[in-house]
Amino acid sequence: MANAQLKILLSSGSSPIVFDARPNAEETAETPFFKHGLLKNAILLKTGVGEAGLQTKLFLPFDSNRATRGGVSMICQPSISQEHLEAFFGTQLVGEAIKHDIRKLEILAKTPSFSPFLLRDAFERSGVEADVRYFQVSDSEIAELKQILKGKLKPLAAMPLPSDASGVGNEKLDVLVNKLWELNDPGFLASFAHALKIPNGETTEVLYGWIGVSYFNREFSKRQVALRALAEWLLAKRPVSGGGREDNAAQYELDLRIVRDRVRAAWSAAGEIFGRFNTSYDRLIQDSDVAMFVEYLKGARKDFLSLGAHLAFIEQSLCTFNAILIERPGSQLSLDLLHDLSLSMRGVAIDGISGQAAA
Amino acid sequence: MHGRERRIDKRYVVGSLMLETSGVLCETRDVSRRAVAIVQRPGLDYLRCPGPAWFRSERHSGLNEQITRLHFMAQGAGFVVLGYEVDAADWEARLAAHDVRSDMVTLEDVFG
Repeated sequence: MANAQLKILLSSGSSPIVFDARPNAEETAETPFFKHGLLKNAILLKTGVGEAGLQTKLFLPFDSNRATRGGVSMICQPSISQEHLEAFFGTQLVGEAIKHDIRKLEILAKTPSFSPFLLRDAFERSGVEADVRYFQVSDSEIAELKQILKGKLKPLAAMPLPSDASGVGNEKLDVLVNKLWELNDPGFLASFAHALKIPNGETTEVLYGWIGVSYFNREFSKRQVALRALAEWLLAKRPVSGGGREDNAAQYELDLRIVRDRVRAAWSAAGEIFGRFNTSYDRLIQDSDVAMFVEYLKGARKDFLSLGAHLAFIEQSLCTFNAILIERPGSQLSLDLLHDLSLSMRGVAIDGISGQAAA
Repeated sequence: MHGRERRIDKRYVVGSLMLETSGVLCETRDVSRRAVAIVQRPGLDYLRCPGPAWFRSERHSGLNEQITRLHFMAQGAGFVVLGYEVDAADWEARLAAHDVRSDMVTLEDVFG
């Protein structure tokens, strides 16, 4: 990722793709998110790469106050280990702090988006302590969203379970809804998994994936208006000065097409996922038809992860689009921004930030 | 109202909606404009459904509505379906506004 693009992402404060763990001088100076000194000023980025890939990158700026002046970065997998970090830093890491930080990195890498609600919820579910101020979401927002998402679990909680299970009729519906939300009652979940034909040991992941897709539906809906404006801009016929050079103009057209195709594919794929999700959910409510819902559940976890990648592509594009809009039309910087975005979407690394891998 | 009509009418799921009958609050599973599925509670005579009855919601005061008629329709696993009438022309619109799917927007093909 080039410096200009990194600068756009950082200054946009786009929560689904940027998690800034640097302590804030006014609020969190005494409570860094990462406890180990080497990770203290880390910034994490979620970027869409290639066809439908999602990468989490750990970026460490050389200057914590001027992150866009460069730094080093590494790809952060959910399986990140102390050995990976030691290889990255070129030194042995000792103490409890790094172990705790690795747990945090695992969660950050595993969660398909840095959307504040999703991230805070992922930390709460994992039981890993973290200063919630870094998630930039208020308690009231969290409570409201939880209420909305829990409401969506009501038709699931109301499904008849095998007679020996503690299903509805034996317990209050809202108690069962809470059990489906908390995902921490193995006995109930086992009966539930049996009724919904969820393979052994996958119940929590499958149901969490379903809740996640439900949450993402809101996130994508919120972007519809902005994406329409981006689509119109990408589709518009415009004279391209491209600095007066024909090869620049050709490159510009190519970049436009690549970004347009990628964003269109991401939006369309997300729409298809929500279409299946909503149809199976509607059928469950309207016709008590469990078959289609069971079928949908099989791919819920995969859909959840895919949506994270689609959202990252869209969010990167919207951030770049907003930056280009304030530039003079046809300026070199706007051409470069579009080009960097196009390269990034194809998974082409750009030199701009030194280190083991470009951020 | 008959079972066929219940199948045709759009069903809504409202997180906080309860049905109060004979002084007992019952959780609703789903509700259409003319029928409601409630969680069966012991001790209630669903066949008679004596009045008065109300829809109640702690969270959404707009859903507190008196039920003018209530009658038994069917029984399922842990559930009872009751037909009902309310004297409010906008009742279905209110149910739709608080349905758990009301925030789900169909993504449009913005690229045309």
